[in-house]
Amino acid sequence: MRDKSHMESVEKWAEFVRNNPRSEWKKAVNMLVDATYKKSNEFYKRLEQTAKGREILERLKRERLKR
Amino acid sequence: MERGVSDRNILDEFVLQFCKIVEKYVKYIVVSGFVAISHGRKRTTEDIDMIIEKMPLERFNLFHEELDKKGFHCLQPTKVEDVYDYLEKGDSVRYVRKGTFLPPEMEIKFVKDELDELQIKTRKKLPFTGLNIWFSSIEFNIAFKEELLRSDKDMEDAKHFRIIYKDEIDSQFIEKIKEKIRKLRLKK
Repeated sequence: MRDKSHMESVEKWAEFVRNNPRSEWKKAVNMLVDATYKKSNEFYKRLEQTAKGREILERLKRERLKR
Repeated sequence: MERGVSDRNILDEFVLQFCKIVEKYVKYIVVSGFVAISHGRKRTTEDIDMIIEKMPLERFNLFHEELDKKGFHCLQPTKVEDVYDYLEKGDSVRYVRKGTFLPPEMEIKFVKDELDELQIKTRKKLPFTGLNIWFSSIEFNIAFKEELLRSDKDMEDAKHFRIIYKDEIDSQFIEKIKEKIRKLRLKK
């Protein structure tokens, strides 16, 4: 999925980081990171609500313990 | 009570609003990183990837206009013909909220081969995500990650999908997709 528009986007972002105070670009990054964590937590809460979901959670936990 | 759009996180809100507009014009699928994070993977994605069916310029014009009216701005050239030209040449174009170029960002591209056509044809709604939108099937996501993308992050995503959908995955279909990837994308 990496093409011309991706590189243009990377360049724009790098310029934004270079030309703006850390507090500005950090705010944008944090919003994105917070949203992904919120999404993840919401997903696991949805799983907990069904028997099948709880079974999947157990599988995921077992896999995590193997690491 | 159905959940309103406003109490969702910014990523879901952005995607839901965008998909609501796209589906009036063409079939679409959300693919790649967003599918993984919608299944609980704790990682970020720089953009949300979407594949859409090809459409004539006249229809694309209306689509682009509606996106503009509803507060989405294209990061590529301002003339709609030029935006369309990007897509026609196989490049992607990116839409963000008006007044910013910051994420979230929707990267859209036209279907490019029979593999993409099959992805659209076999698209799925995935209730675990909590989102009423169209995704590429889990089989497609696994096949692309294991056969084409293959970074550590992609292999972990594929494993995550295999655990979650253990009882539902069609392994033969994954192999069929991988075969097509080798033929069409890896030219093996």
